[in-house]
Amino acid sequence: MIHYKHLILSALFLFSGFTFAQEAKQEEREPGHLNSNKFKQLYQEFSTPNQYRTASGAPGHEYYQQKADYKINLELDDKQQKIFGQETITYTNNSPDDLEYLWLQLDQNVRAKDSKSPLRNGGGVPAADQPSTFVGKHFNAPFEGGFNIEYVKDTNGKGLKYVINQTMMRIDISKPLKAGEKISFSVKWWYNINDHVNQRGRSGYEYFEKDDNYAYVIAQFFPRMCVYNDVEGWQNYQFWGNGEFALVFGDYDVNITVPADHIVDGTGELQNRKEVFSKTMMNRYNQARKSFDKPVMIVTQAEAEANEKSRSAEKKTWKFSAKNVRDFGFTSSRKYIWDMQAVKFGERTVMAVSLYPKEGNPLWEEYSTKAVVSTLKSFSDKTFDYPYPKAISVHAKNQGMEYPMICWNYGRPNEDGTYSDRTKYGMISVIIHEVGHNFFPMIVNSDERQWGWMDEGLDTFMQYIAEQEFGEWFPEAIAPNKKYPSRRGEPSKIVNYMKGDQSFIIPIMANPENVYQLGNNAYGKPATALNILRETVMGKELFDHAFKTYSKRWMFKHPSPEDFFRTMEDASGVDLDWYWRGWFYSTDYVDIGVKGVKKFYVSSKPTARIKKMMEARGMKESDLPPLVYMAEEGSDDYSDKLTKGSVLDNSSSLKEYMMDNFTAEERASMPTPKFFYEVEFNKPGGLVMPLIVEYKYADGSSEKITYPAQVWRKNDNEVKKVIASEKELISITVDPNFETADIDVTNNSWPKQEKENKFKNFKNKVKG
Amino acid sequence: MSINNTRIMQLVKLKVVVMVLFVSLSSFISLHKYYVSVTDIEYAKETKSLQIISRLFVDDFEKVLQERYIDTLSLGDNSVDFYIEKYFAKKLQVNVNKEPKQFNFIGKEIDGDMVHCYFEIEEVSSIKTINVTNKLLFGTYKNQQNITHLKINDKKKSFLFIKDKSSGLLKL
Repeated sequence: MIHYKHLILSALFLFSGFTFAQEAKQEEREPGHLNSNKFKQLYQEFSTPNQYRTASGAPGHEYYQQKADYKINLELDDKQQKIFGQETITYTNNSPDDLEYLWLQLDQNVRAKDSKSPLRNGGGVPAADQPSTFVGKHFNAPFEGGFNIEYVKDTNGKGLKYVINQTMMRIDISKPLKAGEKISFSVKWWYNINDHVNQRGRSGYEYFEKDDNYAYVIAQFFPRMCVYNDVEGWQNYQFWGNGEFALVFGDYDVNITVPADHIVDGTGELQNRKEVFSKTMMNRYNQARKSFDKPVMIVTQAEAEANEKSRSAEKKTWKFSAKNVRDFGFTSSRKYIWDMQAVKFGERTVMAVSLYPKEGNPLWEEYSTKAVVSTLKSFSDKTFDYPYPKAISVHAKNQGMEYPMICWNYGRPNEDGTYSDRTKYGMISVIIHEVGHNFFPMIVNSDERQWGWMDEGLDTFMQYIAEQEFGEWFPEAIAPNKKYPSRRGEPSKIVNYMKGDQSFIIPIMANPENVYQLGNNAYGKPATALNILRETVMGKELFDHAFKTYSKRWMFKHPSPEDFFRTMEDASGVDLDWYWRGWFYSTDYVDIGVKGVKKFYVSSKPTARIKKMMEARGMKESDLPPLVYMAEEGSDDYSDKLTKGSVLDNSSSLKEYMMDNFTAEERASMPTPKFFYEVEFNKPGGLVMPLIVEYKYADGSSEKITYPAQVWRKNDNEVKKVIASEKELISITVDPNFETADIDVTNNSWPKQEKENKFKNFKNKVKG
Repeated sequence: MSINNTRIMQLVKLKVVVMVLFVSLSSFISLHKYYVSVTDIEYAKETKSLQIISRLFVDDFEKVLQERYIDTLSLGDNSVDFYIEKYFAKKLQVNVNKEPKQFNFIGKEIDGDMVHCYFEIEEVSSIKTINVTNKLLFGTYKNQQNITHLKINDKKKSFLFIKDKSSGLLKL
C-alpha cells in the first residue's frame, strides 16, 4: 500500500505539471526548436581542433610559424623629414606548404595620396561644423605619404616582379618557395614622415617651434612580411587604420644613421655603444646597469637643453640588434633627456628606460621609469619573466603606441611645469598600458589585424592589476588616494556601455574595423569580463594559473581566440563556454533581480493547491501518504495559528516521522527551521551569471550565497529558491557588492528600495 | 595602441548615444584632448523643484575659474564655491514658461577627474516649456561641447550644445 501511495505521489508531483500543459496545448501544437541553451558548448563557433592547434588550447604537435629576419640600413633626413631605407629580408618557410608568392605589408601606404582608408567612412553633410573642423576636413592639401619603392631584387641583384595592392605588396618569385626553404631578397624605399601631432598616425614627428627641433617616433617604416599561418593563409586584411598589425617573429639588425647630435634608442641591443656614447654617458650607463632602486640620468635636462641648440653637420650610425621580435621601432631627437634603471629577472638584468624632451618634465623624470619598472614586475608575475633586455618609454605628444621593447606615451605638463592629476594618472596609466603590450601582443603574438581585443583586452585587464600594484608599491606617488584611480577594470565602469543603444554595440568577437566604440569594445569590455571572471566566477587561483598557462603556451607564438578560450578552461577545469558565448560572442548584458518573496508555514491540512491536483486525479485525502503541507501567508490555507508553535506542532505527519526515526536527543540537536520563503529571482538581461544573494535576518545576521551560473540552465528567465530558516528574513539583495556589471540595480532588492536619487542623496549629505 | 578619438567624435553627433559616449570619452585612453561637459536637469514632482547636476573636467573648469577670477583658485578648496555659483549664474540659464529662474547652489563633489556641481530651482509647480542655455566653458575652449539632458515628468530630451548653438527648448 505504501508503495502504491508513493507511486501516486510521484505521478502527482513530478509529472502533473507537464501533463496539464500537454492537455491544455493539444489543440495547437507548438513547432519544435533548435538548442538555444545558453550553456550549449561552442562547437559551432569554434574551429575544429587539429594538428596545429589542439582542443586543449595548446600549440599542436605540428604547429609551425614562419620566420623573417631583417638586415636594414636606414637614414633619417632631419632637414626634410624623410626616411631612406634598404633592407634584406631572409624569409624561412616553416609551413608544410609551398608558397607561390610572398606578401609584404606596406603600412605607410595608408597615408598615400591614393589611399582608400580616408574613403572608407560614410557620413553626410552635418548641420554645421566648427570652423576648425571644417578647415581640417576641406582645406588641407593632401600629404605626399606612403612608400616609394625603388626596387625589389633577388640575391643576384636581379629585379623581382612585384604588385602593390594598397597597403600590401605581392612579390612574384621565380619558383615556389618549398616547405622548409629560405629565400632572401632586398628592397629599397623612401617616404615622407608624417606630423603625428596634427595628421595623427602611430608614428611620425613632432615639431617644436620654439627651438626649431624635431622629435621622431618611427615605426611601420619598412616593408614587412605578412603572416602566413594555418588560420589565415596569408593575412590578407588590408591596413585600413583601426585594426593593428599581424607580424612574423625574426631577428633584426638595424643600422640607423642620424645627425651626430641626435639621441637614438630603439628595439634591440645597441651594438656600438662606445662609438655613439660620450665617455660621461658610458660611465653613467655602467652605473645604471647596477642601479636597481632608482633611475640614473644618461643625458640630463641641462645637457639636453644645450644639445637642442646644436646643429651638427656630421652623421652617426646607431646599430641595433634584436632577437626574436615581431617588429622594430625607434626614436631620435636632439631634445632627449635619457634615464635608465636596472631590473632583475632571475640572473638577467633588464633595463627600464625613458626618453623625453624637457617639455615632459617635471612629470617624466618623476614617474616614467618608475612606471616601466612596476609594469615589468606586475606583468611578469602573472605571465612569464620579461624576456627582452630592455623596455623603453618615450614621451610623444598625444601618442599611446607600442612596439617591441619601445613605446610612445602621452602626458605633457602645462608650459609652466604644472600638471593636473588627470595628466599625471593619464601618463602613468598609458605607460603601464603600452609597456604591458610587450607581453600582449609583442610576445604572446595574437593577430591584431583580426582581433583587437586579444591584445587590447588582455593588456587592459592586466593594466588594472598593474595599476593597483603600482598604487600599493608607491603609496606616496598616488597620495592622497588610497587606491590607484583606475579608469577601467571595475565592473561598474562598463555598465553605461553595456546598457547603451544596441544599434551601436557589436560583440567583442568582431574585427576592429567594424566596431562602433573601439575603446569599450576592444579594451573596456574584455578587460572587465576577464576581471569579473577572475574575481567572481573562477576565483583568483584558478584564473591566474590558467592565464599564466595561456601566456606561457603562446609566448613567441601566434594564438587565435579559441586558443585563449580553450586554455582558460583546460587549465582550470572550469567549463566557460557559456561565459565566452555571452560576454564575447553576444551583446547581452547582465540584469538580474529579485521579483518576489512568498512566506510559507508548515501545515497538517491539505492546501487548495494540492486539493486541486487531487480533484483532477479523482483522489481522496486517504489515498495520500503522510505529507507535509505548506500554507502561504495570506492565502485561504493560512491562519494566524500557524505562526505559533513549532513546525512539529503544526504538522502531525512531520512530528510522527521525527518520533519514528530519531531519538529525543537527536531531535534536540537538529536545527528546526521555522520560517519558509519562496524567493523568485528573475533575469531580464540576456547574460547568465552567478546569482549572488545576500540574505539579512531579523536578528541582525546575514549570509551571502552564490548560486552558480548554471542555476539558469533550465530556465533562462526566472528561478525560485526556498529558504528555510530559524530566523525571520528581512531583506534580500542581489549582487550586493556590484561584482557583475548589473545594468539595472533598481530590481536587486526585496523589499523594493526606492530608486537612488543622486541629487537627493547629495543634498541630504550637504545638509548634514 | 591606445584609443583614437576621431571615431568617437563622429559619433558624438548622434544624440541617441550621447550618454554612452560620454563614458568612452572620459576613458583615459584618448589621444586628443577633448572638451565635454554633461548637465542633467530633472524635474522632481514631490519637491516641485528642478534638480541640476553638471559634470565638468576638473582641470578645464579650474583653469576657467582661475582665468576669470583668481589665479590660485583650486576646486579642492571650499572658498571656490562662491565663484562656481557666480560662474554658473552667468553661463547656465534656465527659463521655465519663458521666465528666467534663479537657482540655488547646493554644493560640489569631486569624483576622479570630474567635478559634479549641484543646483536646484525651487517652486516650479508646472512646466509648459523649458528653455536651457548652456555656455559653460565656451569662452575658454573653442571645441567645448556641452551635453545637456532634460527629464521632465516622462519626457526626455538631450541636446549637444556648441559655441554657435548653445540653447534649446523643450515643450511639454
